[in-house]
Amino acid sequence: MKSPEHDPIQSVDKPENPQNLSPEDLDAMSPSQLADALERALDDMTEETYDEEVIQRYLDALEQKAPVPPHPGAEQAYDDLARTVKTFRTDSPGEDRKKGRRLRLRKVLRWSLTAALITVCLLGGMMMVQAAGWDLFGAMARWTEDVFSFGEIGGQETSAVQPPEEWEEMRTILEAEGQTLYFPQIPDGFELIYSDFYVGSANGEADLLLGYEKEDTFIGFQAIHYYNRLPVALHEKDETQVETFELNGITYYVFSNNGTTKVVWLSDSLEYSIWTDDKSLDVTELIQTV
Amino acid sequence: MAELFNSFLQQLYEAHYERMIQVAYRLTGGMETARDLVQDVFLLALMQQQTLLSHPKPEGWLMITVRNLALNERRKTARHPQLPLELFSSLSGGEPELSLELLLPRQLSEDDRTVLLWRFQEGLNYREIADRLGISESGSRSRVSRAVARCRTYMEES
Repeated sequence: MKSPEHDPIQSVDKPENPQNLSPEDLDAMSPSQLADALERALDDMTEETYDEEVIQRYLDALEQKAPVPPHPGAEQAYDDLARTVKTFRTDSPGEDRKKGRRLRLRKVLRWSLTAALITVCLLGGMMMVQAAGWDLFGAMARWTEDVFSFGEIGGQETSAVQPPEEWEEMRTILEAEGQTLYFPQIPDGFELIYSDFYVGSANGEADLLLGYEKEDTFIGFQAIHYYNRLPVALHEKDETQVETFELNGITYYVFSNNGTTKVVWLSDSLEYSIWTDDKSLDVTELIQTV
Repeated sequence: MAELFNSFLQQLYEAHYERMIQVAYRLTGGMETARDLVQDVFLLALMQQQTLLSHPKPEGWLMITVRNLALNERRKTARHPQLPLELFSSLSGGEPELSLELLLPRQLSEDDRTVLLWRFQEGLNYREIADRLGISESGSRSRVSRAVARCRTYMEES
């Protein structure tokens, strides 16, 4: 019988050096525990410290318990890739672009979109592209003695939309770390249609997603809290320029993706994004510190 | 094999493709998604050839990129609303006695039907689904989210 301190099941939830796990330890783990451990091992590696042997041990153990479904081998996959790239290179830019709220990279292989995405610093984990230097603050800012706005200042309308439970959950967690959580100024008339708060069991990253709808228009809000890692989110965009503005020491990046406008920014270890397809809304008006 | 890459990238492809596919599958829970992700990685590698040539560990670049794309994929699929009970209620026309299996759109793949039945008929949690599929718990959430999204799409189309 194994002593408690050598219980591989208990060790799964702790930051464990995977090289210390014996074949017996791996065999005692469930498939999902192995998959989580694999993910944790990758999270602890960089490109330079990547240890192929460690990863292969997890993959071998997983294959014993839950084999990967059948799939084409390297040669066929390579041929498929070659065909894709050849098609991609012969397409002219701007050709029939798919519409929709989200464009998956694998479905829209256009030089302009790929060129824009390649400029995203994937390797460094950052998602911002070159700034256009748009002076939004000087062009649109208005204020009275007690109200500041990028939009029109009429009556002091404040949003009646309160943060949902999931937002409170994330706020509580962040408060314990001395961080605050922003909530956008959702215009009246928009109703919450979905909310999701998720904490990764492997890496502890927290991800909040909220969606609001009014008639046929939509506002999305996401906050991702990265633990000990650079931001890695990729935000799809079309060929239009990214514009930036500075406010209270934070740089906001505004770009579009076929009818949807998005603003993204970093604050401490949080990555925020707000997006909408409502043409009457100025996304910068949605940014208001709580 | 098509002469797409120079020999350097081709060697990387042949040496690491299988391992990358397996990692992508274990993180995302879907083989189609995994295949797409790996292809995306090699597209990026194609455009970063010069960087990779001088990289101290190009296989590390490949695998970390797989991880990053997989995590991003999971975040995107987590966007789909988790309203399956309302969804299936509308399918049944308010008759809860009907079996879920009979209500699912016939266009759904067998894999999608399976995970939906596991989750909403058998009541398995994400950890249990992950164990059955041999993927991470996060991957199983993505897997179910994608199946729900496709179910909604087919419903809307019909």
